[in-house]
Amino acid sequence: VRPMDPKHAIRMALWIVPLLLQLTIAAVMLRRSLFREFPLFFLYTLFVPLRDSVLLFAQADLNPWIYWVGEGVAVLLGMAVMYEMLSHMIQPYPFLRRAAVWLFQAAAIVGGLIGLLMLSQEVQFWRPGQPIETIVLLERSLRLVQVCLSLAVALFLSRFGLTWNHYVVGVVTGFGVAAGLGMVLLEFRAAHYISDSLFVLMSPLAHNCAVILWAVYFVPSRQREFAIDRVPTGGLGKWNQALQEFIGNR
Amino acid sequence: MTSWVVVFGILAVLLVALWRLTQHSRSTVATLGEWEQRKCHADLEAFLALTDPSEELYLRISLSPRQFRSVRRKRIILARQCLRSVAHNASLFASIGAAARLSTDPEIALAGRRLSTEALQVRMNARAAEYYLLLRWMLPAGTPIRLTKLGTYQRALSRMEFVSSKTGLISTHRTTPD
Repeated sequence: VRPMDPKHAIRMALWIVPLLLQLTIAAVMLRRSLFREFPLFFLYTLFVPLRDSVLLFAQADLNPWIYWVGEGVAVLLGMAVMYEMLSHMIQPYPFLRRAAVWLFQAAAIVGGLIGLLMLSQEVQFWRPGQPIETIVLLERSLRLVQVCLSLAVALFLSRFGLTWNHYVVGVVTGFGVAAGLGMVLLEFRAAHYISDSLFVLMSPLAHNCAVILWAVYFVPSRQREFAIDRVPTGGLGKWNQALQEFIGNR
Repeated sequence: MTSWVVVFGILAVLLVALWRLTQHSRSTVATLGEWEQRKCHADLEAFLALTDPSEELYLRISLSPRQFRSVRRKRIILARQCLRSVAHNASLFASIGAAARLSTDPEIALAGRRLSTEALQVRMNARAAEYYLLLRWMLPAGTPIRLTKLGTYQRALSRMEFVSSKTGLISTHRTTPD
């Protein structure tokens, strides 16, 4: 029996582990009816393993197209998931809606502008006969937008203390880590600091990190004893009035 | 080079934000026992006294400009500590409210909804007030824009009368607050 090539073994592990974990997360979401609360995240959780499975059986000449188109759809779906998480947390609080939507749009615009600026500075962009260079640079800019959105959502949630939903925190953290690591790898690849083979080997790492984080947040049972037989007030009303007056006077 | 600075700069900020987010999520509470353990003392009377414009007016007149700036900064630091405690408590209240919303008792669930809404409003207002105080800390010689709170205004007037009678520097005249 010939020993398996270590690179191949790593590649297979990085391909199979997230696939199995995402299917487990999807099963957990189905069992706990979480797909009703987070339909886009559920769709994302099914889409990526489906794409990876199609890649296994598709013809070799189609693989790059399936991968890159699928990657683009996954990034856009990821951005929609970030908005879903934000909407889920602010839904009971209409007064936060305008600020949240404004922040999300501002992050998307700023991220998009920086991404475009970075694209415009690359001489390799639109070089004929090298579509991969163009795709890598485009994906780097898309990842940058995703990073800006993750940053905006993370800041908003922690600033307003909207952090009691562990699922939301897990999803945002996972997407943030994946987008950040993916962006760095693409930056290394665009600057030719890493070879194509190393890039192909390492690029699933970012997704793996995210999936492991989601599994940590989703798979264990997070049922807690909510032994609340009364609701404290602690003079919140007085504080609210005093603060409104304080701000209103300024 | 520019793209490196942008990419790694944004990545660093993102990692800090995600770290803070996960730390915040660990500090949420779901029971009254946890809430009792983690709540901070936030004194409303102290905050009102520290941010009372009439008190500031009195200090401005009584102290030298240098002393006034120093005292005002100390008062602002204390007021911001009050606000941070309130924001922390409001965050705990919001998570207690979120937990109470899941209660099978409709009254507790309704109270939970109200509590978390009010708590978030307090947190928002506390943050806004904190930013305003930060601005005042940076510009300690600045004057408050206007006084519209009736009680405060009247206290300010009586304080003004007291100060002017002592110093003879300011002519007193009553005006109707708007």
